[in-house]
Amino acid sequence: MGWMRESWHRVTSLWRRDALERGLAEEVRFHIDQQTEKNLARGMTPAEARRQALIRFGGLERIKEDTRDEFRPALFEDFLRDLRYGARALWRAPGFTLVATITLALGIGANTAIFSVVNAVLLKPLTYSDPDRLVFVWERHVAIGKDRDLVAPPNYLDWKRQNAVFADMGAYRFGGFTLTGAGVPESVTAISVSSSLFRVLGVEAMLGRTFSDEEEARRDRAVVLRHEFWQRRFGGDRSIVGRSITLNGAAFTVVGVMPPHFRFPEGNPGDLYSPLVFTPNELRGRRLHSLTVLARLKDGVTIDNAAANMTALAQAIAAGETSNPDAVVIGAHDLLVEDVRLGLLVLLGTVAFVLLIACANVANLLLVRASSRRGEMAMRSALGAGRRRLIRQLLTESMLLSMIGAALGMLVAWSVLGVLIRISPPGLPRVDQVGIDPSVLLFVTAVALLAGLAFGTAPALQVSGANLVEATQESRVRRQRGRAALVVAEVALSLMLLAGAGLMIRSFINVQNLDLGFEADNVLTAQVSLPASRYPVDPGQYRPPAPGVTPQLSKPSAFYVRLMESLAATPGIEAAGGVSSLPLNPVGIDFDMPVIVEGRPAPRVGEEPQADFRIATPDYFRAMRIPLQRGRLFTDFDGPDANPVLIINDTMAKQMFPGEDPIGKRVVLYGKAREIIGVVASVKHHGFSRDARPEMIVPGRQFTLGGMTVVVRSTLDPAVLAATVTRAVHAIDPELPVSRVIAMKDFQSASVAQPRFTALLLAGFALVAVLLALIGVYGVMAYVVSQRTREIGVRMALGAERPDVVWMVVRHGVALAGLGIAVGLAGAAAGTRVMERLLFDVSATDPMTFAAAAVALAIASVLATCVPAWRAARVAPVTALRCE
Amino acid sequence: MGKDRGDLLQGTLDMLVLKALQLEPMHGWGITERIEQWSESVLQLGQGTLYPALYRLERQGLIDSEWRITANNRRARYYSLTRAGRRHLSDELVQWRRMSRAVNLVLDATLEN
Repeated sequence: MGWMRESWHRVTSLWRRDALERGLAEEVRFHIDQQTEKNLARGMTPAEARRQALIRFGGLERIKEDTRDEFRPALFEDFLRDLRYGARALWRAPGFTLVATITLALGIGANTAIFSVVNAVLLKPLTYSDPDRLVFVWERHVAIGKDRDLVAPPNYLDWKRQNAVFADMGAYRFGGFTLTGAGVPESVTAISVSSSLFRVLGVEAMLGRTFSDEEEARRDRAVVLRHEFWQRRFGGDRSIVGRSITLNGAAFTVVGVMPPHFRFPEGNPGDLYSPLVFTPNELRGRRLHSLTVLARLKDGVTIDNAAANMTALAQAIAAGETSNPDAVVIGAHDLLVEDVRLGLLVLLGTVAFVLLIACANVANLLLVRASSRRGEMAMRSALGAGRRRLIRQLLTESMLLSMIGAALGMLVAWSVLGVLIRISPPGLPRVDQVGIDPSVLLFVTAVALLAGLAFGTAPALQVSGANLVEATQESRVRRQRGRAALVVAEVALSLMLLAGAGLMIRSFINVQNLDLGFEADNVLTAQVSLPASRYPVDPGQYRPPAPGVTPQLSKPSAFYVRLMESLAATPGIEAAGGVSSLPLNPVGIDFDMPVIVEGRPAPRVGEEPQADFRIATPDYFRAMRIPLQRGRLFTDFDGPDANPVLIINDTMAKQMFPGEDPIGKRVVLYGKAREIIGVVASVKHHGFSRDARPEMIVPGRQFTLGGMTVVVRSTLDPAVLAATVTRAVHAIDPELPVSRVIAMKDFQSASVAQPRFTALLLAGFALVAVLLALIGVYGVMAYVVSQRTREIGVRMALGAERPDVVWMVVRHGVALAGLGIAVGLAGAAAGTRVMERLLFDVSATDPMTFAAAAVALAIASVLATCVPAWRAARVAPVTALRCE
Repeated sequence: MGKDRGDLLQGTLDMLVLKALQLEPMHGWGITERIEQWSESVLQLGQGTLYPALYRLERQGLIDSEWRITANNRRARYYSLTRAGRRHLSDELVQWRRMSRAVNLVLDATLEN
């Protein structure tokens, strides 16, 4: 309290100064008048009375000055003076100032850049209304180890009706349309959303409206456009609302356009939104999991309440049913960032270390500089500056330094951010919102102030304390210990970063070299979707064969057969195939099925083993170079009228047919027993980090769905090849869109983008850290040598050889670096554990990596000591003896 | 600074000022008169040294001041004790009495031997 009042007084007296000055003058006048009157009453003459009164009062101006000292706004005036003084001091030592500000700019810039990303991705709330109340609800199947599964429509509908914890519940799933009419046919991403979803999100249309519950119930053909798509495709035409557009050959009415910043779903926003419609088949069982469910918590309900309530509800609903899901509730924001949070936090920790090293370096520079400023400090102290005053002045100087560093750091951050956003992995949500905003500025200011305190305090205490008394031997030893401690800390911190970066790099190399089960080079992929209106799926494929009916090749199957034949006949194309879902890019049709092996006792309902279900044409395996392990691949003869067949992957063979030959076994799918004719190698369908799952593949002539990804292996130029594929499709049907023409290699590199990003950044920051630490080691050793020049001279005069002198200095440096490395190894062993989940196939305390980091740093620090040592050895003894 | 305070330690002057204000608010001249009178003219301050002390005590929140009109119709700044000032004074008095008793004990002991 006391200091607050005092500060307040000091600050306000800045404005009250004139009033105070006048008051003091009046008070003093009054005092002297009173005394004069008293003297008069004692019988003095008026002149004598006044003279005596003045004498009794004492030196008038001195007293006024003393009094003024009590109310002077010292802090602020001193601060301005210190600032001017500090600026002059920095200006006079340009070398020091340059090195210190650049060091700080690197440290602060790195922190600012990473914080901007953390701020946008992790800290900013979602742009929906009251985003903290938004949660995702998933199914969980404990029996088969699925923690989070999409929700079956009947479950969603029951949950929505019966739950007591949500204000509202909505659901969506991805769909796709082909937009025809004005312009080229285009494949658009449609999100099928329940009408309630917009209410759950709390957003309204910018133009028109969103769907009504009635529209949903009537299964009206209505769409709401996303702002970006409306701008791109319709040029922002406001009259589009109420008009109809052609999707998959049918007319849909545009009922609204969403506001500009509406991105939903956050990671992969749709072009347009259409009402969620369920097929009768979907509503019959609870097996077809297709929905992502979002809900808004009722007021006063916590996520934990909701989770408990939903689990109970889901179990109650499932009790009488054929499947047994449970429910999981996860906060919307948590779910969005869960894959990137750890990586970003590790990066934030890394840059904090870089800044610490930068601070240690600047502190070191300040300490070295302090010895040359001892005279200046002694002078100021002799002129009456107290120790606190000197400390304040030195700290002001440090703050000025860190503020300049911060200003330059903003430039560093700005350029780093540009690169960072460019190389950021595709899965990083909200990366478009990364930028330097007020909270980033606040962060920079706070960081700069803290940094100024961190590197300025110790030198300020030391300099100000050592100036009056001659620096004793003892205090010099202490100073050198302080410097040595800084070097040890810098080496230790940079070793930790180096070890962390090494682990990330090893992990990335592991990921890169991982056998995904196929060869991505020279493979081009393209998505070709068939509108259900003109290419109806054969309903017979879902039923047991009817006796006496010869099944025909369905329209979609026939299309793909023709396309593959045409592509295979093109010169330069080695193999062309199609698959329902591409590895590393599992969009579209991708689901799993219960595995029922003929002739085995049926497992309990809901606990059947599951396997992914895929469709492929015969040459798909050759195009992807997925090796066949047993049996045979599909041929053109595996047609609709032939024996139903199946290829499985070796994961399925091992899990479900252990110790048996799966070839010839039969698995029942959609009522048909399919004979296993081949086993292929497992493909890492969901990327490097997930184990391969059991997989069942049926031939494209016996089963089709609305779309396939065409896979072409060729050494032709990709652009030419892309045109060839499009031409081949349009030769069969000019109305079909060919979309997402992407080299398989690109999917592969996108799938490892996140570890690559983290590894790249960690390596970059570790490099900066090591460079800073080496500069620190060099600086301290150079200083030590300059302090010991005399001693070295004596030694050499007494006959020490040059190598002895070099060794003497190097030994000192190596001892410090060695200690730093030891501390750093211990720190790394404890610290790298936090990044365990980021690492792939390498232990968080991998001895090889640690050893490599330690050796690299040891060599570098020996080199950094060698230069000053070598210089010391070249000192001529006479010069050395004369020095000081 | 402070040389003119003569034998009076700064802390002692502050205490005397607070003591003088214990009964009623007074202006600066009044305070010097009061101290002189109470000390039977032993303590004759360089009167001006009072003012830095008054400003300091006010800044520390131990006293307050306001301008008033005196009996012979002049404007004067009157100082009064704040609650913190009263507390501070009584603490100081306890402290002072302990100290002076201790000092006296030492001095008397020396005489007896």
